[in-house]
Amino acid sequence: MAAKITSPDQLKALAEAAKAGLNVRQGRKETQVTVHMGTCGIAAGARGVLASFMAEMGEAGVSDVSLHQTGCAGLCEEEPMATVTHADGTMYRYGLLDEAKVREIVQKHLLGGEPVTAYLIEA
Amino acid sequence: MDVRLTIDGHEAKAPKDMSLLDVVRRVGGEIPALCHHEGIAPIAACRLCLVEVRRPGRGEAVLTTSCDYPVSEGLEVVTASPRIRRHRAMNLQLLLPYAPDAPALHEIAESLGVTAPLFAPVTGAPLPGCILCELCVRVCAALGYHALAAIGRGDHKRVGPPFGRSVATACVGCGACHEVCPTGCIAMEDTATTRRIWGRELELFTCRRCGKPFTTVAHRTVMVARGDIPAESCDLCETCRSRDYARRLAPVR
Amino acid sequence: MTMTASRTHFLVCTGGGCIASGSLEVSQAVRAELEKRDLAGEVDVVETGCLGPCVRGPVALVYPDGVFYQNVHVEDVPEIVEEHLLKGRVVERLVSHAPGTDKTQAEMTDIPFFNRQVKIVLRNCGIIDPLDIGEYIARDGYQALAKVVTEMTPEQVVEEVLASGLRGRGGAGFPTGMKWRFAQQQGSDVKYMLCNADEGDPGAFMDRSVLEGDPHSLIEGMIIGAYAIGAHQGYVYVRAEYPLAVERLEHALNQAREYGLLGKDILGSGFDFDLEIRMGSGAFVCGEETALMTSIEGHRGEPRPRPPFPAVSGLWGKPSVLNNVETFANIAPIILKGAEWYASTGTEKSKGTKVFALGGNVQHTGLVEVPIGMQLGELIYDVGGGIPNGKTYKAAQLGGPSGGCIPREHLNVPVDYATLQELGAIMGSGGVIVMDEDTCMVDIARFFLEFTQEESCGKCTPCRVGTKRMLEIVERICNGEGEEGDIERLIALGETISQTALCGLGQTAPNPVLSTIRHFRHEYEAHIKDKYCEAGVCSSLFKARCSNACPANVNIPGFVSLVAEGRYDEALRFHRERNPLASICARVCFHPCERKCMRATLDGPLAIRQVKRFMVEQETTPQLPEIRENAENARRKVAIVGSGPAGLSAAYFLARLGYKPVVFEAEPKAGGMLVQAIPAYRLPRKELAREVAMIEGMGVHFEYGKALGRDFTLQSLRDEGYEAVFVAVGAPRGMGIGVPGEDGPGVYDGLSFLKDYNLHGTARVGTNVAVIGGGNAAIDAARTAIRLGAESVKILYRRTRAEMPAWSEEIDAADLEGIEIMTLVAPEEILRDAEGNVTGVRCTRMALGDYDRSGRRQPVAGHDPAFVVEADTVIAAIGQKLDAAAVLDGTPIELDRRGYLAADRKTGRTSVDWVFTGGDAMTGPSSVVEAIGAGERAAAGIDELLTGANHAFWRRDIEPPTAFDPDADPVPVERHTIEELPVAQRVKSFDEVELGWAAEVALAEAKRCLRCDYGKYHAEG
Repeated sequence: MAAKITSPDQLKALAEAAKAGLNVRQGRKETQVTVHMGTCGIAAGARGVLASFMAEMGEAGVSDVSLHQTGCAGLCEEEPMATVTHADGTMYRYGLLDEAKVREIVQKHLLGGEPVTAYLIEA
Repeated sequence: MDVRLTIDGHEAKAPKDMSLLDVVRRVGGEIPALCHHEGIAPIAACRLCLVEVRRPGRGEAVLTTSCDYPVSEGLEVVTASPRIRRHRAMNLQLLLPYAPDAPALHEIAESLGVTAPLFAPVTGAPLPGCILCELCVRVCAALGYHALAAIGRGDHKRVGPPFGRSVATACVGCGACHEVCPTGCIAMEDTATTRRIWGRELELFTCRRCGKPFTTVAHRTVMVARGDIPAESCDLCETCRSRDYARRLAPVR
Repeated sequence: MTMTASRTHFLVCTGGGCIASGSLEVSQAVRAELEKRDLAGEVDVVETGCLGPCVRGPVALVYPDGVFYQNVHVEDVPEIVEEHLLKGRVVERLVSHAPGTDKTQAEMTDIPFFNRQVKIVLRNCGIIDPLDIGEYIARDGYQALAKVVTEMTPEQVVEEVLASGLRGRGGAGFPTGMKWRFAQQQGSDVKYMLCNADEGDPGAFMDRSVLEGDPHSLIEGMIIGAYAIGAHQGYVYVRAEYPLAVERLEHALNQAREYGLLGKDILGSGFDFDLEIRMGSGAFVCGEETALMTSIEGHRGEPRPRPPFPAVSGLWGKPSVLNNVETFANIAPIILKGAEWYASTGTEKSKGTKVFALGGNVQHTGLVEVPIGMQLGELIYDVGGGIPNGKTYKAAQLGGPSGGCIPREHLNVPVDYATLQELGAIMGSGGVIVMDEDTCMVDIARFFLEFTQEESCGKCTPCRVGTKRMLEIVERICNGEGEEGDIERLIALGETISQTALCGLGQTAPNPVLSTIRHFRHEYEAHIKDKYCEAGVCSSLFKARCSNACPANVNIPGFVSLVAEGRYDEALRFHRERNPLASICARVCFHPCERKCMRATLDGPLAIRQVKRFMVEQETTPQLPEIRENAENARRKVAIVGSGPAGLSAAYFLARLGYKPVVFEAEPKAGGMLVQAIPAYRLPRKELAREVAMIEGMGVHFEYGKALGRDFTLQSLRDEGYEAVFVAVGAPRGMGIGVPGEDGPGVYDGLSFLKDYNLHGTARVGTNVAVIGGGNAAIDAARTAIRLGAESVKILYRRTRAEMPAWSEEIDAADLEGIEIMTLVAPEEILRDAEGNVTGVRCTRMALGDYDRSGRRQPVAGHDPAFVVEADTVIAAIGQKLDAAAVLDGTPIELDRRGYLAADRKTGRTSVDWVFTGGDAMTGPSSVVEAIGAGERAAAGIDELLTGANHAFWRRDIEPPTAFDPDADPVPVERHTIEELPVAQRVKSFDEVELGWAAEVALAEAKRCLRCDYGKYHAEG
């Protein structure tokens, strides 16, 4: 049994709290993280990377970036991989990811706006 | 409070919110109607009492039924334009096949210049002659019996005992429905001792004084129980009751 | 452990439509599969309300990708989970495709059905879980209510709604703010806020979808309304046939009460309001406001007279406001975003959006919300995806049984209150039923009238009796028993009912009849006078839909079933009862019969034309039906001018009545367009010659090289003693393009070009040919050009392929033969070099603009720069006309508006009583079989003029003398294909392209006939 809402402010607070749950349904955001989930990627641990992005982004409250998956990028030796795409079309490809690297990318790139050059794949 | 209005160009006065149909009839105007009774709330069903009204400050005159139209200050009323007559005539044409022999309809037909029926008489109606004015249902309800109801929808609508039963169990045989029916389609047959109506056979009650049967035993019982008139008056037919009253009034004179 | 939001949301539509097609099972299967793949923690499955495209259900939506899946079934679930939810790869076979292409439109934003919509009412439908108030709140739910009770006075609320321009969405379109103001001004302690959710129009489910998909949007709107008028109690009147809606609304009401959004002291404001559900039993009349209130009170649901209006004396005699679901769902956004924001959508006089339930013959049936004022064509073609199965749009019924239809000449109109009313329709509650060419408008009027007549409460005379009498008349017309004066009777009845019925149900009940009479009066007339139902719906008026569609009335089941029994000679005689040119039609008929074939509903229409082709190939000696010799007729002089299909047909039928007509032909060969225009690869010349010889053998005399207006006149024929003349000269004059450079060498008119080759063998083409036009003549010219050795042939057409008047088989054949069809291209100038040789065509790119009267989108000049199509030969085949002055030479025959000979449709008789006409000269360019039918009618007309009676003995319906077992179930057999000459071979010669069938194929095809005519001959007696 939910408690009665007795003021507009309570309602506002409730709405703010609930918004995060529906964030995914706003569709593609201007910045997108795409984890490569080909068979090669999954074998190399892409599922864990995807889960890490999900957890880290959720924890950090990143709401202006959407998380997607896609197939193999053709660079199987770099898997697990993820691509960060910005509104202007610039793309950053990260390779050989693990949980720690993901945390760093979320913190520095997604929140801080600075790509983590160390993990980028040389084009 | 009285309001002033004009009816076909003539000024008239009437109590505010009185039914326009009643007002027109009181000043001698003629508007046909089959579902109207001054003592019963209007339902505007037959759609014959059409008139055109214009309220002050409003643009065009609108076509409306007069039985349910409350009069108001400055109302301008037209009771017989070609448009009114055309639509009245069509609605009458729609009713005629259901009661082709009813004098009330013929009278209206004549006044509207309707000579040839547009549609063939309807056969096999559940209550031949009924035009669904619902006066019977309404008068019965107004008298507190609720022995009759409208049943069914659209073209299947009919009046009779509620829920489509064959006998109106709540009927006391007062005969008010028979009295108000504009087409005379409600059968009420009295023998020396009984009255048949709505599937019931009710024992007649004879006047204490003259010995003439004047209503049913059931009806008299209700009259006594309601106590609207002195119990002893309930035992007298209308003629004897009037005489009785007259006698009682005599000393005053 | 921290709560982690899922990365992906899988939304399954659980609106009524999708549940019916199995969405609950899909949702369960997805959950199970996610569990199995250990993805349950990463992907949320959400059961939402209606997403809109109900016909493609079950539908689902994957976020954040925004990918829309359709026709998802349980067996598709593992693939979706594996491919998309795990690997991020869209399952392409389950997404939408751009019409007519293989291009996928996976994301919702790519799909016109979605991206042209503006969702205010349906803002949450299909996005949120209707059972979770938290999701409604997450999307700013109840914030408008909070604003109202803390910051606004009731007067300000009314002002805001008034300023938004919102009008009642239930049908009548009364300004909502005005209604609220009236009720607000009533000094009564007790007032009621009521919601009409008694949606009853056939095909309408707007309100149901809101109740099922976003019930809180209704509740919030009602509380705000109650606050504005000062009501503390409300009722939602829902029909009991909406159990899911009732269940979800009930659930939402309980949640709102739990949260303190309903009940005492809402949000601590001191304002009290509660809501209850009242269930109605589905009487249509209870959608009328006074009847609805009477029903809530517990009485028989009948309307009561107004005044008094409900705002003054409504439910239980107290001031009451009644709005429908959609109206209330608009309220919260108006309050939250402001009246100005709301009024920026829609038109000057009709603000906001409208939800429509698209139904009937439209690609995407379902629920859509669009700005008011959207063009009807855009709603039907762009949002709705157009008409399925290659059929054409005929009309749309707006406003359900209370509304009217809008025919194709009005596809450009904006859908708003005023415009629809002007056209005799209404906005209504939002039902849009799209009807294609197979819809009979009289039958549709009958359908809606039957509905309202059944639903009339029976209280007032005009509605109870009037609609019944109207229905009887319309039924009579559909049954072929219509009488002169019926249309006028319907109009008179309709007017009295609209003007004098007690409530809205009755007042609008005649609309479907009055509006179809207004826009399709000719269909009523055809039913009444000719006992003809063009659409092939009113089955008392014909034996079979195919024969009904045949302009020559050939008994198709008759000859087809005879072929099926191997009785070819009899079959051919059966055919020639009504159409002599069987072999010709077997090649060139555009077979309107096949378009109406009932077998199409099973596995494909019967290949009637090809069965006919096989039949005529079996003819060894000419098969003629009965000829009645008549010495008197034989002596009468009758002239036929022109030996095209109309002339040949008239000659044939006159000969069957014993006449010996003379046919005058300007050219040295008989056949008219058949010989001059239609190339031999479509119609071998020996086939034509065979049927001309057959007619000649019946005593018809041909005079060649005699042209009307050159060698003789109508008057000279009269002077020579001809008692009647049939003018069947066609419409042989080509029309110019009207651009600079047109005159001079290298530019030909299409018909002259074809004629030069077909009659004289003199046509020449260069290497690069540009053909301008999109009709059959253009295709014939292009295909002839390629056979004459042109290296490149291009067809330039100003509209798109879908609008080309040429038959699709012809267009496809041209395609195959390597002809390039350039669409949306219009010539501006023919370019020439210094010597005057054609070098190319300068063209403009066109775009499709508004709809024209024929329901096709008109080409308008685009913005791209002009470009040049290189060509050394240009053939203009853009249309033909009749040069009437030359033909008539002073004989005072009336012409129609377009300059063709005006004549009685049934006899071909012109304003000069001894002159008859038919075929293209009367109708403008049309088909061979139309001309054959016209020839038959003129023959009967001429005979009637000369003898005073109708002797067309062939017009009786003869029962096919073939066996048929009506109890046998039809065996599924696909339509047999028609083999063609290989392309490489056919472009080098004029050999016939289509090949015939072997007997077993032809017989198998003939046996596919469902014999719709079976058992319908007995009535003749």
